[in-house]
Amino acid sequence: MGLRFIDNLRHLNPNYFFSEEQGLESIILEIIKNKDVEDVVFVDTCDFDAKPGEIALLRLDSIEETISTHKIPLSMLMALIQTEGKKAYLVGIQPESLEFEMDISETVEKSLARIEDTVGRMLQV
Amino acid sequence: MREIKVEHLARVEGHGAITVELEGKKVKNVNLEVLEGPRLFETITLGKLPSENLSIVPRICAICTLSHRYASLRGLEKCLDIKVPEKTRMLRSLMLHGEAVESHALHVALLALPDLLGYPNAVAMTDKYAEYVIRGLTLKKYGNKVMEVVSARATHGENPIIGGFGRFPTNDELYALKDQVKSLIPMACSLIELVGPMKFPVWLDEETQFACLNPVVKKEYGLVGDSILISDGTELDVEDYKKLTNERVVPHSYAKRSRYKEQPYTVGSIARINILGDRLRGKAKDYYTRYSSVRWKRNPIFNNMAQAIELLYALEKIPVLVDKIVSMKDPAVVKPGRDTGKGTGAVEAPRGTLFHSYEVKNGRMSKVDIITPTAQNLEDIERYLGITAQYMLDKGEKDDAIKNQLEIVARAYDPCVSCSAHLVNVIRK
Repeated sequence: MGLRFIDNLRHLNPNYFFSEEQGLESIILEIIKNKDVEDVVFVDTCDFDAKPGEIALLRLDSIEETISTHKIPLSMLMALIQTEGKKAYLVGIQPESLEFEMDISETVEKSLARIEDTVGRMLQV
Repeated sequence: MREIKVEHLARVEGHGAITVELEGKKVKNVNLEVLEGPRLFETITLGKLPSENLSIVPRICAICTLSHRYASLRGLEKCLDIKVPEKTRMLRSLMLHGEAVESHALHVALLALPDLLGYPNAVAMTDKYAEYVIRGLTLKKYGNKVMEVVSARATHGENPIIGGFGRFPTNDELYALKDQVKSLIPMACSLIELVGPMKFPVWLDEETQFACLNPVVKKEYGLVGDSILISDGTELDVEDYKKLTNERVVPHSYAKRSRYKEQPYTVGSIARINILGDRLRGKAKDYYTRYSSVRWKRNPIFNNMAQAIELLYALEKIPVLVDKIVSMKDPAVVKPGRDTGKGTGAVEAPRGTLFHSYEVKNGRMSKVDIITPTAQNLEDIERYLGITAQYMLDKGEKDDAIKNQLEIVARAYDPCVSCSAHLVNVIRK
């Protein structure tokens, strides 16, 4: 879902958008070192016991996640960003299902479109 | 009887859980459960071309992807009677060392450090130790870059092929890798100097066995070999790997188990350092001399330190490899000499000795046996978990403290749970 968000909005300004396929370490190290960056927003599906499609703006202290060597935990990345004096937020969408081989549900698509619309308008200001 | 259960083992790759069964204050049984379902790689590749096998098996894992690829290449090239030239071997060694940097940096700096520093998680650690996390990320990024330059992708690169490489990196690309090492060595040293003076619990000390490959370059520390060194002094040809592993199935886990002489054993950085440590050179040797002790042969927590030293070793090795590689001409891909044969390939993956044993008949895979380091370590992990649980119970510790300590011990092995669940035999009746 996060990839879809980036792909849909990247055209507005490629410098503002990064997706995990570019190499997470590179992106985070670049963000940490870049003094012009003040706020970092992550967009991802999150399970916060809400109805599918509900959107939440989450702070670091409300995130609980397990860690895998396949990816560096989001909470750690947010914490690192904040130690550099920047702000980090997570915009989460409650998924409909986490089953393999399921595409993004219609409910989540609608919520994603709302986020894209809001962020798109912010960037065009 | 009651149970203490760690429902989800955090900060490891894959899905695992720990169950400790208690009768009163006695530990009756410890199970390290691998919750990944059987992934059936050894069955998927049967009947396929060797080149297809080579692309499939690295998908066992995204972290040790090149270890799987390299072990597979070594096994397949034995089956097909292919002897690759020195430049190909050196370049494959380079990618393996890059993977070691990537994997060890991630584990030591991001996954193990919270345990070693006494933090509940990595996030809490960023308060005072953010700089070490950033160094870990920088080192990991470099390891990924090495892997990408050699194999064409940071993960699941397809450039190493049977008989050689699809494309050899340019000398400029290789020199760029060499040039970066200078700035990274102090970062690796800082991790060793942070972890080195730390005290680890004596109550966990218990003798065990170790195994690793005897490097092909004699008397040198290395990650590729054709024979297995065991801590009891035995040396086995890699084709006799089953004399080490003696695999069996257990009811509580999708991962098979290994024992040597009926006892658990450990592979990985701690095994390599214990068996080959005297062969280290440079700064890695200096730190090994300064910090190693007999306790490294008894206490799995020292695996974190062994990884930190190996990270430095790999960084120091990379420029040496680059200098040799750039001086050689790019060889052509070596074609197979036959389409039927058998052979076992082995490499030292970041987590330990990895075996890929194959038979090829008329150009198709007819037998596949893959034994991963984490699968070999599971018996020893369970044993040390039992020691941990009993000690904590005897001390009157509460369940939360016991669970936390169990996780610390399991994590010290840097287990790759996904790798370990590669097959349960399916028998149709």
